[in-house]
Amino acid sequence: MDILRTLKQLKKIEPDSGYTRRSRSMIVESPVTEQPLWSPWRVLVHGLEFGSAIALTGVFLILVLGGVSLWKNLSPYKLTSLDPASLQAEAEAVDVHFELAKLNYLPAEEPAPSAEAPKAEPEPVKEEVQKKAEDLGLSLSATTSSGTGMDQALDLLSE
Amino acid sequence: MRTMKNNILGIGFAALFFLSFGAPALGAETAVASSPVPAAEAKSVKCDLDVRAKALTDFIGQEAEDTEKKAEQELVLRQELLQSVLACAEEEAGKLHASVEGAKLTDDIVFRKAAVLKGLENARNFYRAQLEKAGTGTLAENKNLAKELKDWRAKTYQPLSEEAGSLVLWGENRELLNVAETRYKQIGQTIRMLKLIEQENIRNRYAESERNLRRASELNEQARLALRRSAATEDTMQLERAALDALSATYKSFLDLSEEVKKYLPI
Repeated sequence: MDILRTLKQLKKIEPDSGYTRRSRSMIVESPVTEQPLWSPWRVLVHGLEFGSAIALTGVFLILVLGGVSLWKNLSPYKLTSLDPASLQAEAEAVDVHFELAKLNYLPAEEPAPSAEAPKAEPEPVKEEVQKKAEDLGLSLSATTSSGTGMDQALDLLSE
Repeated sequence: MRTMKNNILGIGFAALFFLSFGAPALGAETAVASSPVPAAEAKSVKCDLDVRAKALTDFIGQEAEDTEKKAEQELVLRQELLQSVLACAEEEAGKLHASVEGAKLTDDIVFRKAAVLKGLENARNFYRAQLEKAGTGTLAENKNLAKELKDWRAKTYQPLSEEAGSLVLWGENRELLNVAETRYKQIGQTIRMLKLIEQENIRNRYAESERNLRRASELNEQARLALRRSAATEDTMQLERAALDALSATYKSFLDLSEEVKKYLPI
């Protein structure tokens, strides 16, 4: 029970009166720097903190979401080489050139000298052939599906 | 309220961040998409056959009491259409000239360009000279000029255009072959690394693509030798067509191979 008594006596502990006086005067005399609650600088700093947090989150999301395509590109297996979409695009370029080569010497009504049955070209390929022929300056007036070709116009003028 | 203001400002900074880093990339894409198409711009105002041909056809179909006046108006429409034909023809020869100039030919056949370029330059000069005539003369003279022009195009310009086309297409086919060869090598690396080559169906498809590619390459090589021996002929063009046919079969094999690989891996 002595210990309880000792602990109760601890409550009566007080600082030295001289120390109390000195401390109080030091606190009271020290200058008070008043920080305004709203200042442009504080707003700027806070804004930067908040903005960079959002930006970093965005970057992180992009990295996570873009990871799939990044994997495809950086993968040592180069799976992109078997990507059907890019293979199809290259195949179409070949088809366009095949059509151009077919038309370069043959009149439109003659069939192509191919062992296989002539395949019907889809509309995008036809358009691409026409555009490519125009760009290259190849004379395909006889094959123009829409519009008037030069030879057609000359026929009209000769009548 | 103050926190809200600060947050709004923060979002503004975030937007600025994205605009600084993301916008240039997006902008580059947009710039490519909206780049002008030179071919479309190159179409001169005078090369408008559709409009002028329709105007003439409609006019001829109309009945008129004053036949003399009608003949005068018809002549004007005919002259305009003939001038438009000549403008189109001159433009076409100009484009072909540029295509031949830019054709990527091997050193041993590049000399074929000179004669073709000279011929195309002559054709352009011919069209320009005819353009002056087309705006004058009587109805009968206009009809004769149109007939002469059609004959000239069939006998002189068409063979020249075909020869030029052969050179241009040979150069383009060579590039397509290079692309296909790169693709073939990449596919080979992939299926070997993934040990897919051990699968019989994949091995067969790959071998098939190799055969087709080799055939395309051989035919293109034969076309090159033919061009070295003589000016482009129908035979040369037939070789070029056959090479493209084989190249088309190569891509069919690639696509079949891609389908086979899908059974083992997600592509």
